[in-house]
Amino acid sequence: MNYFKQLSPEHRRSWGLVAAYLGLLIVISLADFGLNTAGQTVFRGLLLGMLVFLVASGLSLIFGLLDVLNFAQGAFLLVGAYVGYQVYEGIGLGAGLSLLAAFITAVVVGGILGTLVEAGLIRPLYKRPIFQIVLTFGLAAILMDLVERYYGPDPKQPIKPPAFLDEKFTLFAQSLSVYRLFIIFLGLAMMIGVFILLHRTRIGIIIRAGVQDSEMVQALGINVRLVFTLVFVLGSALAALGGIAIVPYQGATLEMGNQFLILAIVVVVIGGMGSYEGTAIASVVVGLTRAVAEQLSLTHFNAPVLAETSILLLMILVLLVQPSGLFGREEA
Amino acid sequence: MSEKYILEGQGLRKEFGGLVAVADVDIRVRQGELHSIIGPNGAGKTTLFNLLTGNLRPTRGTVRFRDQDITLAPLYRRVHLGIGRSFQVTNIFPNLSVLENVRLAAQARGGDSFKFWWNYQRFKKYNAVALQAIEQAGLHDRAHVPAAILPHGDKRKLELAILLASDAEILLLDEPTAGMATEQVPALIETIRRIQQAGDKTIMLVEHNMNVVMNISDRITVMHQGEVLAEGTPAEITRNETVQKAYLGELYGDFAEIIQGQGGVA
Amino acid sequence: MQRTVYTTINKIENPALRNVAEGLARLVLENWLYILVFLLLWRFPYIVASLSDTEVTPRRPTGDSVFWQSVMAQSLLIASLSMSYNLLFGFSGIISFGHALFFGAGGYVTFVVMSQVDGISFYVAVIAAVLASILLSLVAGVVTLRLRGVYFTMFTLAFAEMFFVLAKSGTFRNITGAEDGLLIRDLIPEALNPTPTGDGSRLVMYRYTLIFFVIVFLAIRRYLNSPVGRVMLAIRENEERARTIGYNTFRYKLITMVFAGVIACLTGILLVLWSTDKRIKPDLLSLNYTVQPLLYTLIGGVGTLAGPVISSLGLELGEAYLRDETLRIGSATYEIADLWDLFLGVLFVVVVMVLPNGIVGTWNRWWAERKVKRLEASMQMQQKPPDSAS
Ligand SMILES: Nc1ncnc2c1ncn2[C@@H]1O[C@H](COP(=O)(O)OP(=O)(O)O)[C@@H](O)[C@H]1O
Ligand SMILES: [Mg+2]
Repeated sequence: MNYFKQLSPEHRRSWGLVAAYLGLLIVISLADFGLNTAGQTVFRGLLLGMLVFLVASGLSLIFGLLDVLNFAQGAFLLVGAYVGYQVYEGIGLGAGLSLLAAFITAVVVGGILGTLVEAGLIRPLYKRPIFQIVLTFGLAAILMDLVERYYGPDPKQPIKPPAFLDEKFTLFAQSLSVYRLFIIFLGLAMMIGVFILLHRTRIGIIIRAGVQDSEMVQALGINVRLVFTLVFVLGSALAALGGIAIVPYQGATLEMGNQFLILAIVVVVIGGMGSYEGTAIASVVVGLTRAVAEQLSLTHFNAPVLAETSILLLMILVLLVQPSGLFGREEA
Repeated sequence: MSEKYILEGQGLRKEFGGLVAVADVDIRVRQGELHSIIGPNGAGKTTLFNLLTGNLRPTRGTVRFRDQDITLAPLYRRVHLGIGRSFQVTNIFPNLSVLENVRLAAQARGGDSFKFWWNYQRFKKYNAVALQAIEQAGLHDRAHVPAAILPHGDKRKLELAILLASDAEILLLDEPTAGMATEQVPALIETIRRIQQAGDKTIMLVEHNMNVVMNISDRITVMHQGEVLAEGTPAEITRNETVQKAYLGELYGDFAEIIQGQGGVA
Repeated sequence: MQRTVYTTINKIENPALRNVAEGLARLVLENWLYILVFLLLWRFPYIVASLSDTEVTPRRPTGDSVFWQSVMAQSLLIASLSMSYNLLFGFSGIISFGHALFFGAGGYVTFVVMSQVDGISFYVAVIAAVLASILLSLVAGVVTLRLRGVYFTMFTLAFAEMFFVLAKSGTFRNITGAEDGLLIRDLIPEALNPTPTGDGSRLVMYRYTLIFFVIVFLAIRRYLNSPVGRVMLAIRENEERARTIGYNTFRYKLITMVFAGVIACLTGILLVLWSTDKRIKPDLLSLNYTVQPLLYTLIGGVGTLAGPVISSLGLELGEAYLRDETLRIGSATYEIADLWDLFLGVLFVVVVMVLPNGIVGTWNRWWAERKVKRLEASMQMQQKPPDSAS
């Protein structure tokens, strides 16, 4: 538990706040919905949280290292979802292999797209940070337009995962597809994987040092540009992975890109820009908040709008209390 | 009770991460005096200025202006109380003209800044104040030049002009001559001295040229590694053994000569 | 030319008369281009009519003149929206990705109020909408303007998106009509309905719109030349310095946000009046209406007065003109209308990459650099003692 000893007082307070808030959500759910529904709600929240994490971690990492606010993350997710869908439908190798191919293609395409964008568009604008933001924003619009043009405006139906992922299991008296469990594990695996990458590998140490002070790292003679590109590619690949992961579960819609971008933004703002732990924790917080609000509005108010706006209200609240997010770096 | 202190810092402390830039400094400035702060680079002089003007929040300690606690007052409010400053590292509006740089400072002190329905040219008094400040700082032939293309020495003058147009009661000048050509320094110092003597202005000055400091200061505070080493009149400082031994002797080689030269005067 | 006018005026003996004449002369001489453009726009329906041999006020709403009245009016409104965006982005350095909120709020508040409150006049509803947009920008501003740059940008995006979600939400279906929107055909006051063309309604509405555009243009120009505008310029240049000379920069940014928000709100109301399906739809609050003004601002020239106008009018009119054309590449044919968004996107990227100052900005910079060079040259002349050249 060395980690907790190293924490600054503000961050320790943030941990306290998060724990108290999550506890409160669970207590409310238990008291209001009963054990089974509460369990289901928490499960749904975790699921959403893990999906959002895939988009948000890229957003946060890219910002932390490159100081680029990448508004195209949502578009990368969209591309991942649709390209994956197309591969799955077109390849005809049986559910298992097709899904695997879809995942791999989505991630690779996301990565390639990320490389092209970073090297071709972001890097030349290094001296004009505002234009980087503006560019990613416009790029997102273009990519979404292209996806709509190519795949048409109609939503795509969920694709069928292979049998072993499609089996049902019972959790809190609800029969669920194993695929959902798979998403949660995928999210957790990525969370831990990236954490290990950041903390246990040489490149990770460089990335973290770069987040602290990129000029310093450059001064050490490390090719920061290459690291930048790698992180950007990692971020876009994660977003694309999130995209294809959603398809067997919810299908693909054009709105998905913006929806998840907004969710990711909320996560990153709440967690604190550039803080990986913050992003991970905030993903869970946002996922649970959304799920509990949905359930609450379903049982009491019959007003889905409450669920839809809940996380934005949460974000406003956090910003009022802590303008640089829960685990963000404090700026002078 | 303080005797006519205009600006006071009590127990001021500023930490940057682990670094203590200003360590529990007490400083008092009397109305109308020229109070210099000296000390080697990194002593914490600029940081102390930042704490007094509100560019930075102190980690601990209080700032008082005319017996009013202003520790938490935001930067811009302190300007309206009458605290003005110039920067060691030139800090201007690069793409605006010299006149506009200075005019904006004058406009800030008037009550017309929110009048979005009038053309700004209508308020001629700010123009007049600005032109006068520009004249005083010795920049009169540069009024319509974009600030960015001024030579370095003129940028320093512009810093001063901006401050003058603010019509502050107490002026905090952070190394106004930094990087200026030597032959331009006396004129600038003369201007500063004239400003102090003409009105009831108080001046705090950070300056490295010992000759200048000893000549024009009423009081001097010596800082070293964030702490105040000594405080007193120039004569007291020259006589102060701690200052001499610990610091002045080694850092300002020519200081010994000044002391000898001024030996009898006290 | 200028000099002859002024010398002639100086010969006037009566000082009062001379002042008036001088003011008038200055007004005309400094703004002749703008005045010319205005007159052209005012005559625009007639010019189109005579070029295409159609009527300005035909009984049935067909023919080039009425079509172009509508296109031009909507382009002028988009230009107004872009100008308001540029006021934030270009002149104040505030990067808001939530501008669509104020634009959409205009139409929504006006007509939701009208449909909910019986017998309320359109104009009262407009006032309600303006008040609502002021409130919204105050709330958004107070929460966000103290935030660091990127947090601000992200927040505005999410904040606006929240209202987009609200507008689409089924929860308020009986108020907003959710995804389908709200039919407002019966709510538009007769005097402001541009659809009937025979009685000259459209022509009148075209003129109103043009006047609105002119007012927005003049108001923004005055704002930028006011004490507040100068402070905004200072803030964009160096915010900390602006605070150090005594400006509460937060307040100035807030005022500017409110101002831009009100303009966007009014623009939104007018654009709804011009819409062909006479509906307010969630689309009005979508990211589209943030991306579009951003795009036009960038292309025309960030921080220039005329830039967004030129690019808005140019591209909007261009789209309308080319809408029915097709493009043949090899064996494939494409409808221009289909390709237009893509074209804009590519144009956007190209402009960001190679022409960051936009059309007007690049032109201005070129001029300014020439002037600076001359100034620098003359300053060096002064510094060099005349006899030291050897
Ligand atoms: N914004 C800052 N962040 C971190 N350290 C700072 C900052 N400003 C000053 N310092 C440090 O504080 C110390 C005092 O600096 P400063 O006040 O500028 O000294 P002086 O003006 O006497 O030369 C120096 O060690 C400097 O590196
Ligand atoms: Mg200093």
